[in-house]
Amino acid sequence: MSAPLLSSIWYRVAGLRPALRTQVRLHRHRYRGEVWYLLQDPASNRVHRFTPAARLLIAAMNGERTVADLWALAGRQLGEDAPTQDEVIQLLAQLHGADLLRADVTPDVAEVFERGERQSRARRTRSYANPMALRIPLWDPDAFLNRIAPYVAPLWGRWGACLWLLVVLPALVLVAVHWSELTHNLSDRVLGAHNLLLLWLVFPVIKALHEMGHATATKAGGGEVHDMGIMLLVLFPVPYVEASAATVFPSRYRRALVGAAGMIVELFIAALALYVWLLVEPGMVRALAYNVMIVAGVSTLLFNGNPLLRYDAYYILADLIEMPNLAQRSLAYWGYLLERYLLRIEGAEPPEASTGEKTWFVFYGLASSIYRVLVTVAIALFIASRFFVIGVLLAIWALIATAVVPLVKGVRHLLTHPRVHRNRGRAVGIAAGLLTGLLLVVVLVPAPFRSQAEGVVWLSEQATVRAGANGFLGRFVVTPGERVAVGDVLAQSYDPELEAMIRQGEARVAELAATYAVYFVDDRAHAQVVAEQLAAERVALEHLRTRSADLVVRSAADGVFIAPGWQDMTGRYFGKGEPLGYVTDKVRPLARVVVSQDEIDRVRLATDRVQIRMAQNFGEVLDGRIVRMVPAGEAALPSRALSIAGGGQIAVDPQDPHGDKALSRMFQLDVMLEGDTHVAFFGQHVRVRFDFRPEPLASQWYRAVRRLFLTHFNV
Amino acid sequence: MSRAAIFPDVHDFAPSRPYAEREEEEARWHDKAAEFLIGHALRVLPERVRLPARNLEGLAAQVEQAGGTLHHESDARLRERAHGLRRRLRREGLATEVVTESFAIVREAAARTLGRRHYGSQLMAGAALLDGRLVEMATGEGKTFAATLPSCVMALAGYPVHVITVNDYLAARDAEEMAPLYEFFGLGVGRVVQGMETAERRDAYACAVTYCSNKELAFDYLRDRTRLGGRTSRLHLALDRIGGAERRDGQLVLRGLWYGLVDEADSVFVDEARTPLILSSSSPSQNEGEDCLRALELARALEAGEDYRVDAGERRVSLTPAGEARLASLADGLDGAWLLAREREERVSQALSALKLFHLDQHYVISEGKIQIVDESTGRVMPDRSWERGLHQMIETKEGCALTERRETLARITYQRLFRRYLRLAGMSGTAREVAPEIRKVYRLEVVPVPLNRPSQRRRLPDRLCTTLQEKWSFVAERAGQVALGDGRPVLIGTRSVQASEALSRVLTEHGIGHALLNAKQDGEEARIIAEAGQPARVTVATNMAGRGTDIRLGAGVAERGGLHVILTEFHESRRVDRQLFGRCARQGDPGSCEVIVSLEDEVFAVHAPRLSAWLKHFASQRGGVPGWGLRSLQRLAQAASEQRSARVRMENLKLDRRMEKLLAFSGRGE
Repeated sequence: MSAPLLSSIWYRVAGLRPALRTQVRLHRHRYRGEVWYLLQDPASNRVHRFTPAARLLIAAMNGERTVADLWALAGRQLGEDAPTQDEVIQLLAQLHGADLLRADVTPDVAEVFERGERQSRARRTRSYANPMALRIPLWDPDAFLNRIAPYVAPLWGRWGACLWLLVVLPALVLVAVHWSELTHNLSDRVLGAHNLLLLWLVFPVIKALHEMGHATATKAGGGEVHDMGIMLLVLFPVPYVEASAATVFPSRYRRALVGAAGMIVELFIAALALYVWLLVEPGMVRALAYNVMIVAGVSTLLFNGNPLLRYDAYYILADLIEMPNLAQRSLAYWGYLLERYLLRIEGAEPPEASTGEKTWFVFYGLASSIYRVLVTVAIALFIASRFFVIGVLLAIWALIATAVVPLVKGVRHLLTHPRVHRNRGRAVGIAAGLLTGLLLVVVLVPAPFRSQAEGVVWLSEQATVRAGANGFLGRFVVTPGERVAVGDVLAQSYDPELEAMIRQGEARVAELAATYAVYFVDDRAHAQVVAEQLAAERVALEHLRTRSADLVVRSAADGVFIAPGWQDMTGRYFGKGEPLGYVTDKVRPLARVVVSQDEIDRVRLATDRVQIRMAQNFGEVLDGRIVRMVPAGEAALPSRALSIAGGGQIAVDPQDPHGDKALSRMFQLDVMLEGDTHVAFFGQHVRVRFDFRPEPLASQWYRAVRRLFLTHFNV
Repeated sequence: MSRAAIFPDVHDFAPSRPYAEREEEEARWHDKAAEFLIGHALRVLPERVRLPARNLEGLAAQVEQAGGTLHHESDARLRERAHGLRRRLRREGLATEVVTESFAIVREAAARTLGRRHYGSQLMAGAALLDGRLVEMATGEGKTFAATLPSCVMALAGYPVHVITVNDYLAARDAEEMAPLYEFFGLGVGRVVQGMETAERRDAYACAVTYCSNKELAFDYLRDRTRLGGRTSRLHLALDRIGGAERRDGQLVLRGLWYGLVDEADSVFVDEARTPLILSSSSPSQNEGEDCLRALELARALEAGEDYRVDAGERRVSLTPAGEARLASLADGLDGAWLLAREREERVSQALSALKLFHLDQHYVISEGKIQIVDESTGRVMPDRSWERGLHQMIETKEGCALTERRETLARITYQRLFRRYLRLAGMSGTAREVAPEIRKVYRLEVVPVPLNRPSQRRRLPDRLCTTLQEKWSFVAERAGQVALGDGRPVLIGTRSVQASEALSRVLTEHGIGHALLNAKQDGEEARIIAEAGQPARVTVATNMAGRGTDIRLGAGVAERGGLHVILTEFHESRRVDRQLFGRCARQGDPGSCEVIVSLEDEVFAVHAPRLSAWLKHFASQRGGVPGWGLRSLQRLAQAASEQRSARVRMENLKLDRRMEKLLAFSGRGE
């Protein structure tokens, strides 16, 4: 049923003679083809939006007509669209609430005071409510802006646009040309310790210029700017400016320009910095230019260029599609949709909107909500990883703001809103059912649960064929790929130096033997000395001969001889102990996997399935089975391939000369690859996925949180 | 500072009012939380811990002791002592010692002037009332007499006292009965009833203690508010005087809302809270009658279910889209108010409500060619009330009465808001337990039960659930015959509506049982019928008029035969009204009995527990009867549903009222 035309409290306003306060300005705008009127109060810098029907009433308020006259007038002029008495009262109250109304009676003074108090309280709460964005107002820049306006305003016109294009377009081309140079090792350069100080210096300056961009653009459009200050965005100080005066600009492009001004300024600065970067020699100035580019070019596009968060791009979008308050209205529309179609509440009032607007609401509301939750969680996690206590508090705060508060509000709405009461049973039932369902799914339904680890393909020591002595590989006696038995000669190496030494030794032995024979008769004492030398020389020769025998490479196991790349090995020099190939048999290859302390318990107790991907063919998934666990944690990695330097993901102690000592203790376990698999080379990287016994999400989360607290608090 | 002793908080006084009244303030969230805790979570704690207040039983004993020597003192000496109390009361406030002494003196004076002494339970009630509580005293325990204690004390302290009852008859009666006591102390007693001139009213309110009905008080308050126009603060009034203008505050009738003592508080605070009191003046209207006729005609052309839906529980009619289209085609060619869809639909909805929701002899009666609204909870007509927004005219047209002029509202207030403006409010009732949480929330009044003076001798006979209305009436007649003619005891049969009382009356006549009929149509004979209702073998059929506040004195020899027998023929929407009716028998230690005879076809079941009652009907048709638990659960379900529903509506009204008040701040005037 539509709202009743007459109001039982009409008598209290009927005789009133209202008028607008004199300072109030009225602006006519078209949004998506519909006329709206904006009332601007320059004193409070607030803007209010009204429909044409309300405008008619507002325009007719001259301090002489009574409210009853106004209503009659509206009825005559608007016919079917005429407002009800309650709507007229609402409008008057809204005007009064915004301090726009003047009437022939003194208003309730106590109420005016109370409202003032409430507003300042609300302002305070608003600026401190969100710990991710605390606002601290500092300065009224209007006078300053007026002073510089003559010089700056032309920049926001046609000539400014030309200048901007002249500077920015070539820069874009140059960026494309120098792309690899610019992006090479980006994270190292940006997050390097010496660079952070520069960033700290550069960031506030650029952001201040960004805000000045908004302010001057507003000024150029004829608005006033009275509030500038610092916002602690995720504890990081960022300047802000209050540019809501731009709302009344009649052209939507002009409004969008104010929103885009910050980014325009930053891109301009970034382009200039690029030129500097290209021109100067490496050094301080170049580093500075590089940082300016990063901050002004990349960060602005990342943060301000995203309309899903309420930064610049959002306002630009809202202005361009002519939908002010897009975010709030999207949420309201979603609220309506949920009420109407999910909770099936009859009589839920659909918000007034065209089909086009509704489409925007649906998509924008969904995308921005999801995105906001994700960003909040990500930021909280990021902070938690840096400052644990603050991060956890922030995360809790964010959780309360994004989940608990809406939930409580929703429940209260369900329980107390008059509109709901007729269908309350059903609505509460559906809502409770959904929540219970969700809860059941989280608490009871086992969800897949897995973790990942890294390892290397591993082979036992006997299976490795190594060079027994330094030498050049002469030839393969056995063609790799053939079966061999223990002791079979696999390959023959040669070492010309060794051969020479053997020959030399043999000659010395012969010489000493002859000398011995000479002195044996004459000088027995001397002969005895030579005999000793001879014995030593013989032992030395024997030693050389053994070394020579080691040049024959023999198999230490039964199986198939594998030598990767054997065709190229002949003639190459191999040091003692260098692997030449492998002799593998039915013994399946093992993967030695390194598991962190966090995961080992799960892996040990609840692993259902192990899957392995080898670096040789990452697309192929192999099954595996845990065959052995080392029941103790150790810091030494089985292979340097697992360290970050070796292409793995485990951080190693930089002071360790071998570079294989992990920062924290790791557990090692052997996973045997199931089925026949061809291992192209051993020691290669593998990724292992442990699938655990499915467990409800609730207990998974509990475990994660518990571990987090254990790590940080030992609780 | 003198008033600070009893009315301690200066912040309590509302600004910009011509006289003292309390600032209405919505509780902050922490207050609400505390209230919730006290109301729910701490329920288990004993009252003394929860509500640190005076020890009522101890006080009663102390009064007894303090009164020991008083009866030797002369009247003059007693008066002197009473007047000596004023300074102490003003200085010390309501300290237990002063209160004890005052009560003892009042009690002694009552014995000398009225020939009655306050019982222990009445002393306890008096002390709780003085503290600003809602006292629940069993029906027939002498609430009116108990009320003299706090009113005397407050009057002796020099504050205006309003004793507020539900109707003029009770106000006049109580004022008259208690007057000698007040006069003993030299305190004036005023009473305000309908039809008095402004000057008379002013004189009545100028008395130390004023007895009035809630309605008169509310209208006097509203008149005061409108009389002064816009600028009503004492400062403005003083400025006017300095400026040499005529004294405006001389036009006022009341002296401020200091201490209000409300009898039958649950009825005033809860049942009547929904209907706003409207001060209005007539305004000429153009062809209203024609439009109403047209609207009714159009409404009759629509079909239920298809074109509109009736929600009896919510008391609401809504047009369906099909109905709106049908209406548009029906109204084609009409002009004036019928051109605009919104106005047209509103009028027709109004007409549908008049046709489908408001029934003759149930919601209203016609007397002297005028529509009179009947208050369901009291069964009485509410003179001078009318429905809002043209509904009244619509019903007048429907019944073919002369159209009253549409009234233009001058001021409007609900009891919910009026009574919260008292600086100190107290209440008495026989049935307040059920609505205690709501009363605490809205009026910040704690309900305190006071024990019985003498144990009750009421017997409750087994309930009886009939399947059809016909069966019920004949069974009621049979029972009435048995008790009245067989045992020679008086029987009071309560019905829910005028209509039902007349139906029963016909059945009784058919059965040859002589009886008296009391309903909103016969209210002229009320006093006589009630006076005779206690006579032996007397059968009285009455609506709720014979409920609240009615004292049926037993005739000679009736008590020996078992006292008055009460038959409840239909459950009411709230349990309190049922209990009020039962409360007519077995008063003040007399014997008495009561029983319930209802039928499955009763409206209250059909509206508030439709599914269960339908199922029970089905059950009854199969098994030939309904078990006891069936009736009990049906009663509980239906009454709980309707009580919750009306409590919710009241809270919503209150919220809406508050919001409106904030919204209307720009209008610069209250009410």
